Parts: sequence; C-alpha cells; structure tokens
Amino acid sequence: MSLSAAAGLRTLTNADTGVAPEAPSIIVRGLTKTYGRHRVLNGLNLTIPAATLTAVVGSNGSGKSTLFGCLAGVVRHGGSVSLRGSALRPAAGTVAYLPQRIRLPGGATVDEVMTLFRALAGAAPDRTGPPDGFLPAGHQRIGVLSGGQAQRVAIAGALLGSPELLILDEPFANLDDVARDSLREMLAVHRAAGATVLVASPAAAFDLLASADLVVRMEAGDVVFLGTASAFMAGLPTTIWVALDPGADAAALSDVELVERVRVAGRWVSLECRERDAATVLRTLAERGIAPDRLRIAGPGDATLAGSPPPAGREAE
Amino acid sequence: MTALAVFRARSLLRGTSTIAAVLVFSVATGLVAFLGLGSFRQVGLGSVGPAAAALVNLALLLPTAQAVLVGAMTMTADRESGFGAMLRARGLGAPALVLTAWLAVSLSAWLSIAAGFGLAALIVAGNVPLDDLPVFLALAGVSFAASGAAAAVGVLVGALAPTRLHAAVGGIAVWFALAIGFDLVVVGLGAFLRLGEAAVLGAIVADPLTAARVSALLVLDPGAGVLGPTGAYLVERLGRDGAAAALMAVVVGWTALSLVVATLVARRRDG
Repeated sequence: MSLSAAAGLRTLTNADTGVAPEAPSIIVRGLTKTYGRHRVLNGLNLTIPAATLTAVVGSNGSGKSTLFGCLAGVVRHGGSVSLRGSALRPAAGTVAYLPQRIRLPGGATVDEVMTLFRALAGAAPDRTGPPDGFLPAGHQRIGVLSGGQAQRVAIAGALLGSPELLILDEPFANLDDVARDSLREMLAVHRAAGATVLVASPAAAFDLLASADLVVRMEAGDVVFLGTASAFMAGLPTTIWVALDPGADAAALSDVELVERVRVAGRWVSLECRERDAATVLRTLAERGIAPDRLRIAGPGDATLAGSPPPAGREAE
Repeated sequence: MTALAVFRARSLLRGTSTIAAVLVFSVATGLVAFLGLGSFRQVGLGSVGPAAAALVNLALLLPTAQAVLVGAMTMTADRESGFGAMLRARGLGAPALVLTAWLAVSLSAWLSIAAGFGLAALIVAGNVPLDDLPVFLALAGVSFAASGAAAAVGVLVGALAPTRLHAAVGGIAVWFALAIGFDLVVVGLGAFLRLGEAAVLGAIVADPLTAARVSALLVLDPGAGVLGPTGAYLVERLGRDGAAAALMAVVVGWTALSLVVATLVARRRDG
C-alpha cells in the first residue's frame, strides 16, 4: 500500500481542485514507473493548462524527478503523456529539460555550451536570454566554474529557443538571490508566451510558490495536492507563538479552535495551525485578552517550526 | 547532431586525458624510433625488425587502451551527469549520442597516433628508404582502424555499465582481454589442443585487435612468414590483398556491431 493510500489520500485530478481544464497542455494518464520492485510512480493522472507555471513540491524520494524524467521523455514509463493533444516525444525546440544535479562537460567553455544548446533549440528565436551578468565569461571552461555558475550556464542553455514545455528540476539549487530573481523573470517570459513551465522544489519554496499558478504536491509517487498556489499556501502549517505570563498555565490555550497541536518551549507556547486558519486563531487569542506584543508568527520556512528557538518571526498585526 | 559532434570533439580533445595520452604515446614512439634507429637502418620498414614490431605493438596497445577507457567513461558520464538527458529531451536520439561519442573518442585516439607516428617519422626520416613510406602510412592506417574499433567497444561498455566506476573497470578488463588476454588464450589453447590453422584464424576473427595486429604484420611482411603456418594458410587461401581486406573487414565489423549494440542498449536505458 502506498503512503498516500495509507494516509487516506488519493490521487487528485483537476476535477477535484477546480483548476481550469481549458487549453490543457500536458495530460498525464496512468503514469507508472518501477525500478526493480520499487514502484516510484503510482499511476498518476494530471492535467496542466498551457501558459502556466506549476511548482511541483514534495520531499526527497517523492517521485518528482522521475515524473520530470517521464515528462521530458528520457525515462521509460507506463501510461501516457501528451502535449497539446499529441503523444509527447522529445523533439528539437519542443521540450526544454534541466535535470537535477546537472554536470556539464568540464572541458567545454561557456560559449560552446550555449552554441550547442542554441543549435539544439531549433529554428525558433529565443524568447528571452540570460540578463547581463547571469553567465560567466564565455571563454571560461565549465570545469573551473563554481557550482552556482555552472548551474547558471545549464539553465541558460536549457531555456534557449521557444520551447512549449519547460521542465526544470530544482533549478534554484546553488543560485544566489540575484540569479534566482533572473531565473524567475526568464520563466515569466516563457509562461507569458504560452509555454507550460514545471519547476520542482524539494520543500515549500516561497519565492517559487509566489510566482506559481499551480502547485502539485507529491508524496511517495502519488499526487496528493493539485491546485492553485494560494490554495496550497493556505494549507501550509503555521505556528503562532504565545509568550506566557509568569505563572500562567499553558493548558489554558489547549482548547483554541483550529489549532492542531500545542507545544510548550520555556515560557513560550506554540500553537500549530494551517495558514488559512491563522487569522481566526489570532482573533480567538485576542478575545482571550492576549496582547499582540506577546505573539510571534512563524511560517513553514522558519526554523521555529522545528519547535526549538521561539520567536524570531514577524509580529502579529 | 553535427553541433554535438563538434562540441564533444572540442571538449574531449582539449581534455587532460587526451593531452596525457598524446604525450605518453609520443614519448613512447619517439623512444622506440630513437632506440631502434639501427634496426630501421638495417631492415627499414619493409620487414619485421625489432623496432618495427615494437612500433606496431605500441600503436595497437596504447591508443586502443585510451579509446576503450575514454569511450566507456564518456557514455556513462553522459548518463550520470544528466547531460545526456538534457540532449535527449531536445530531440537527440540514442544513435546521435552514441555516434558522436564514438567519433570524439576516436578522434582523441587518432590524435595520439598522429602525434606518435609523426614524431617517429621525424626521427627515422633519414634512416629508412623513401620506398618504405607507404608501409609506414599503412601501419598508421591499421592503427587508426584498430583505435576506431576500440573506441566503439568502449562506447558499448559505457552503454552497458551502470556507473563510471563499472565503466572504468569494465573498460580495463575488456581492453586487457582484447589486447593481451585473447592472444594468450589462443596461443596456449592452440598448442594444447593442437588447433589447426583454420581454428586459429577463426579465433583471430573474434578479436579486432588481434586482427589488426595480424594485418599490421602482413603490411611489414607480405609473405606472412612471421606468422608461421597460420600466416601461410591465410595468404594461401585469400591472397595477400584478400587477407588484408578480410582482416580490415573484421575490424570494421567489430566497430559497426559495437555501435549498433550500444545504440540499442542506450535506447532502452533511462536518462
């Protein structure tokens, strides 16, 4: 039994989530992949509209990279994948794919990599190119570049041309803030031109989610969430920290509605709830006379979620 | 496909493995040519002297080792690094990946041969008659063909190997078997089992590097006397030119078959 089945989850489709099915770009039906006896993808069904940016999130081993390999046509699989109504087959200019942990040949120069991928991108012009400063000097060999610089070259090469489908597996890894911004801008240009963009991320990367139209969350080879980015973020866990008055009893906060878990850390109590419920929980706390200066809010990206150091988060307003 | 071929060739030819191989082979052939000057003066290249035999052995051992190893590593590196997957997503199929890898690896081995034979030619230039130039060029040609076959075998090893470590170990093992091990087995079993000439010839056909070596010896010694009864049988049955053509066909056949199998394997693999 898969993890999702054990957890009472089922594979979601767009009909479950209200994602508009019109102008579908990618249609995945019954996608399966098995390595030996280990089943990595459990019959996925997925419809992704054209001109969208979809963030595919999930923990390590959830099947994101295998899914991307199947969509890119480089991993043999069961089931079907179609792009704009036709069976998806790799072709010059159609699919741009950036695998996870890409390592370009160390003996090649930056210019040579770009020339190669320009040739492979087909006759279509480049929708966008890397901004100034994104790429290292053209004469530099890949072998002497840092991990982040080499990643930039791979990204820039992958994004050349006018591909209909862009599949980028953890492209933000190793990138600094400036490069991340540049990548987001390049992806936005492709999306605006009608391309379907899929980006994988190991965790809930908020800068990615902020620019995503859709989110696919994977667990143990199943899609357990498919919906809008705002709906996904609303379901993310949030922790509200409450500073206790000296002598106060933490148990007094254990019955706050919509709070899923209460933990005590020193003079702080953490109330864990969903993002969408945070406002209601805060209102309840206010009604119980807890002043805003005794509260801290931490999102899922904050270390405070681990339960150790309380309040470095933003203050409640 | 042309763009990938150019890309691969450029990055491989300037790589440290190629530079090191070119230097090693050039130094080795240069030494052989220098130390064998006396032999070259006496018998030229028109017969099997010690220096000529050493040159042939060097040309059939070092560049072929380079070709098998680099070929195996190139294919697995493509897969492990994700570079091959990037290329395949852009529409390049397994045949293109295999052919371009073979071409680049062959070029790197051929560069070694060209440098080594070039240096040897410079050293022996004033010591062998000009009439021996075709023999010298023919030896270089046999070496080119043998290295091409070795590169194809290496690419096949790389297509089959799951990791670069497996590819390196497998490449060394296969090269040793083809370059040295097979000869030893045939010689040992031939004497022990009293194999006839036809059986020994059949064994030669099963190994492209042995076929290339016999071919090179035929270049040096058209009568094939150095090959003993087997050589006499070969020349008697096929004639000198026919024997040379048949041996080259073996080398080319190994090259083509290895590339076809490597393509089929690569097509069925993920990544």
